[in-house]
Amino acid sequence: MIRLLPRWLLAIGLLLPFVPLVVWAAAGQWRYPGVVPQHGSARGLRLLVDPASDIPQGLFTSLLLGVTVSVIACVVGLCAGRALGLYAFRGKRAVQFLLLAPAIVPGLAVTLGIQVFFLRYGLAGTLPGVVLVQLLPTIPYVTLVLGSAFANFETDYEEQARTLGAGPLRTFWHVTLPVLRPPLIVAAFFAFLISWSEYILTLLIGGGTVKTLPLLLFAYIGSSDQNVAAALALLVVLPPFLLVLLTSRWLTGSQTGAVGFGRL
Amino acid sequence: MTAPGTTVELRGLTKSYDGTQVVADLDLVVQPGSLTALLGPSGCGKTTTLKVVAGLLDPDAGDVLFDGRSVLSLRAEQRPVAMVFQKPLLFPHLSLGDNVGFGLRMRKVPKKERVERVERALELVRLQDLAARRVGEISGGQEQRVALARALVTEPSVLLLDEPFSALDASLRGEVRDLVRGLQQELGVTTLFVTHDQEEAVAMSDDIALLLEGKVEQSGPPRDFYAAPASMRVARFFGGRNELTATVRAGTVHSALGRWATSWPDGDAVLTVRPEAVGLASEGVRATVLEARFLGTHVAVTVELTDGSRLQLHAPPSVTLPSHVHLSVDPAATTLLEP
Repeated sequence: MIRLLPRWLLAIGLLLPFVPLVVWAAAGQWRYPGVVPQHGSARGLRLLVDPASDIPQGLFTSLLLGVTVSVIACVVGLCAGRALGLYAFRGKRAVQFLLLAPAIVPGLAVTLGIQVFFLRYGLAGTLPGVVLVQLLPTIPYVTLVLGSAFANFETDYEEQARTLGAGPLRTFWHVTLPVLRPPLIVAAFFAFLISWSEYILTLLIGGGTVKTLPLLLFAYIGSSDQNVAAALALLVVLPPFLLVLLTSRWLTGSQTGAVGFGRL
Repeated sequence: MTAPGTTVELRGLTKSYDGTQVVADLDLVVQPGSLTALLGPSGCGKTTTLKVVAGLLDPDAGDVLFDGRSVLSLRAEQRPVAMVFQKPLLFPHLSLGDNVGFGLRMRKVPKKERVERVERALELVRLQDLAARRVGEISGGQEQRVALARALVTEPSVLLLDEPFSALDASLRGEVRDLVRGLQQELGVTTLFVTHDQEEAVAMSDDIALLLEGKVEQSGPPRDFYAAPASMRVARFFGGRNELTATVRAGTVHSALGRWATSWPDGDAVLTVRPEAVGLASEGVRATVLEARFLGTHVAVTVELTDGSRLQLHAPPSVTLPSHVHLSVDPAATTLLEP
C-alpha cells in the first residue's frame, strides 16, 4: 500500500492538468461562476477532422516531419554514435562538443543566425528546410543515446557474425541493429518528440508556410477560441502518449505496457 | 559432418598496431585434422594470428594458405572457417536454435535442411531439446556449447578457438574441454586453438606452437616441450626446470652434477634438468637437504650442491631423508641450452 500510494499520487498529478482540457474541448459555453460548462458542443472536436480546417493537414505535416526527422537523426546518430562510442580518434572531444553544442546554445539564437543561409539557398518556407533545422536539436540527443549504447556494445558480436558467413551489411542488419534495438527505439522516440513539439525553429524557418500542430495550437490560443485550442491540445498530447504506452516495454524492459510506464 | 584434412599454413605473417609489431614474420604449419595450440603469454600475438586466419584482420605481410591455396583475397564471411570466442556471444535477439542456424541462414541453406542440421549440431554438443529456449535461460557452460554447435553446424574446414574455456568455472572447463577435443577428433576438423594455459595446451593438443613476442619459439608435440626445450625462454615458460651453470671444454660438459661427454660447442652453457629426472642414490654427487615438502604423490626436495647452487628434485613419498644425500642424474635427461 505504501509503495502504491506515491504511484497513485503521481498518476493524479500527471492527469489532473488534462481535466480542464477535456472539459473545454467538449464545452460550448463555460462562463464564471459555473463549475461545469453551461452547455456542451462538439464544435472543437469536429474541427479536428474537418477537411475544411487546417488541422488535418497540420497533423499530417507534423507526423511527416516527426518521422522524417527521427529517421534521419537515427541514421546520423548511428554513424556518429558508433564513432564516438567505439573509436579513439584525433579531435574526438572537439567533435563531441560540437555535436552537443546545439543542445547547449539556445536554438533561437542559432536559428536567427542560420536563417540568412536558409533564405539564400531557398530552404526557408519549405518542408526540407524545416527538416534540416529540426535536425539541429535532435541529432545531439540521438547521438548521445546511441553513443553510450555503442560504448557498451561488444563488437565481438559483429566479428562472430562475420566468421559465420555474414557480410558487413548483413552483419549490421541481422546483428548490430537487433542488439541495439532498445536504445535505438528510445533515440527515435526522443527525436520524434522533439520534432513533434518544436515551435520556434519551425516558425522561423517554416515562415508560416509549413504549418505544424504546435503552430496551429498557438494560433488558436492567440485567437481565444478555447474550444478548438483545447481539442487541438488533446490531439497534440495523444500521439506521444500512445507512443510511450506502445514502447514502454522497450524503455523499461517490462512486458506490461502501462505498468512499465509507471516505472519510467 | 565436416570436410576433413585441410592443411593450414602461415608464411612470414607480420602485423603491427600503431608501430608495434605484434606478429613478426611468423611461420607455422597446422597438420590436417590436427588440433594445434597457439600457446603464449598475453600480448604475444596469438589472438591477432587467429583473427588473421579468420579474415577479421589483414596482415601487413605474409600469407595464409589452406591446402596450399592463399585465402588472403577471401573476406571473413567467404572463408571456410568458424570461430568460437572467449565469450559465447550468442545473439540475444535469437532463440538458441536460431543462433545455431545463423551461419546456415547467412549461407542461404533452405529452411528444412537448416532445421535438421541445427538439431544434429545441438545433439553433438548434447543440448537437444533446447532449440526453442532463449539466450539467458541456460548456464554459461551450456552457452559455450551452443556457440560451439553454431560454429560446427556450418561444417568449417578450419575451426578457430580463441580461449573458449577461460571464461568458464574450473569445474565446467574440463567438461567442455573434453567435449571439444572429442568432437574435434570425431569430425577430423583442423583446429587452431589459442590459449595462455600450458596445462590446457598440453592436455588437449596434437601439436603446440609456443608464441613469444610474435614469433614461433618452438613447435611440435607437447612431449618435446618437456623433453627438449629449444631455448631458455621455452624452458622458463614451461617452468619447473632446474638451471645450473655449466662449461663445455673439449667435448665434455662440466657442472655441479658431474661431467660427461657432449656434442655441445665449447663455452658457457646452462644445464637444465627436470626435478623428476634427478634421483637419490647411495653414492654420487653430494648434496645437503634444505627443505622437503610432502605433496602426496611425491616429496619436493630442495638441496644445495657443493658449489652452493640449489636444485629441486622429486623423491618418492615414502622416503626418509637424511640431512646429506647423494644424487644420480642420467645425462640423457638433461638439456644444455644457450644462456
